Amino acid sequence: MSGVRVERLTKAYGPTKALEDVTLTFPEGGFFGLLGPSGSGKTTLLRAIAGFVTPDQGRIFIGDQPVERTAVEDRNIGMVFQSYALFPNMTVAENVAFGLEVRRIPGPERAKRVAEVLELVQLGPLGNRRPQDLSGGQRQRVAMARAIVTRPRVLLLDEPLSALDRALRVDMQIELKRIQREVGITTIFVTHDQEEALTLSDQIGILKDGRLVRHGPPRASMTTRKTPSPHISWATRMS
Amino acid sequence: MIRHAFARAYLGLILIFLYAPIVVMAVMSLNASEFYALPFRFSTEWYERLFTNDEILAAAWRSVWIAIVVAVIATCLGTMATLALWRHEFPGKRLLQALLFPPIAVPWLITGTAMLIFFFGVGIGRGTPAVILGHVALALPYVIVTVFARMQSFDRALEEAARSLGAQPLTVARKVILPHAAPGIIAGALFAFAVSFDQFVVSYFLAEPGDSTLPVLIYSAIRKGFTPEINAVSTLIILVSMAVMVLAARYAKFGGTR
Repeated sequence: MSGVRVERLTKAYGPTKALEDVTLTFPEGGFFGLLGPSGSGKTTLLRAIAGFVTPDQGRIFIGDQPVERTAVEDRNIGMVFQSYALFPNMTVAENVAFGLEVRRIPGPERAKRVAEVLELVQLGPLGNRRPQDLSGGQRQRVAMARAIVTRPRVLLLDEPLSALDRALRVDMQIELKRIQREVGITTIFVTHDQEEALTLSDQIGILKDGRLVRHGPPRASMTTRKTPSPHISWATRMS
Repeated sequence: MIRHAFARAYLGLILIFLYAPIVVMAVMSLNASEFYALPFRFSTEWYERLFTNDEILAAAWRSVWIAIVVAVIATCLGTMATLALWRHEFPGKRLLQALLFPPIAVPWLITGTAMLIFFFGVGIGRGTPAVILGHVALALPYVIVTVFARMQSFDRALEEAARSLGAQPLTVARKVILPHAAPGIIAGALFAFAVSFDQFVVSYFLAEPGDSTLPVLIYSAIRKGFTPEINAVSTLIILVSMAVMVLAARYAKFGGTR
């Protein structure tokens, strides 16, 4: 487990700047919410940390290690996708075991860790099911279990709750927070839902048009009005 | 109701149009009379003769193994080409994709002539290797179309998920991409088999007189004189081809469910 730091990160797609000079530290063991409307660059930032997006300029550190030139598969991250991206040809347990298998963790230990993590996300008895046979909330838990079982240095969540209906989303927020606390893993979480970001995060960063406009602990960053700025009014409008 | 009845009658007529000749042939292959005389008398004589006709058996065997070899080669090449086209952006990709499909539309007679001239030009000449090369070229677009269609339903987040979990590119291909492509690959292989097994024109041009495939042999046999044995072998070919096509259709429409 490690903190993450990005320095002066810039990425342009043609004339549009998805990220412009973003510098930000994600503290070790913290739950960091990246908030912003669609097109603000928050997903690009997350995908740059994951390695799916190569920045034009700037540096990315996971722990003390610069990773701009490291391939996704060698970054030792855990990621939960918006669509969950569970492998349809594998059972729940096989999905969760995938990351251990590619790391060549021997069979008995693999089985033990899969059982443990399924217990942690409260899916103990469902290991033999196929993802297609699970509810949305259960799939979400499988995706979490799969992402954390490898003990990654950082957990990246790309709008993980947006596919769930409202009632379930609130339950899953509590779940997500509980799991993150138990594992203690540095977590970076992308959302466009301000309330969700406030509930879950220890720290929040607000992006707009590729720039980081505010960051800090949730309440302060949302409510301080020492420096009146259009970004704050935008942030308060968001819910 | 009237429209309903009309639609059914229309469908019935189309099916008769499609299948009547085949049914007549299949029935006659089981008729005892050599001259298609009615009344129908059931007999398996023509099938018995067929299975003692070494020439036909040899041609049938040749057709089958050529079709298998063609299916294997065309499926491997076609799948690799499709995955490359699907995955990568490179200069000339659109042109290449556009060039892959006209062979389906070019008349086989023209393709066959062109291949014959070309194979003689480069020294391959006629014979079984030429037949296999020709069939592979004909079957390739079918494989590519089928596998490509299947890959359209692939969720790229699956590949990203596998990579985020530490899977190297080969593992991603083996554990995530190929399992998804599998129904398309099987369907493509069956199409390739059918294209080769049913192929007459190109085989006729490229096969040496001594070792013709089954369709070529049937054509030569008809020219010499028609026997109900031909009905029997044709009926069997139709059964094999239809079975292959039904299987291919089943796999091809697996889209997205698994």
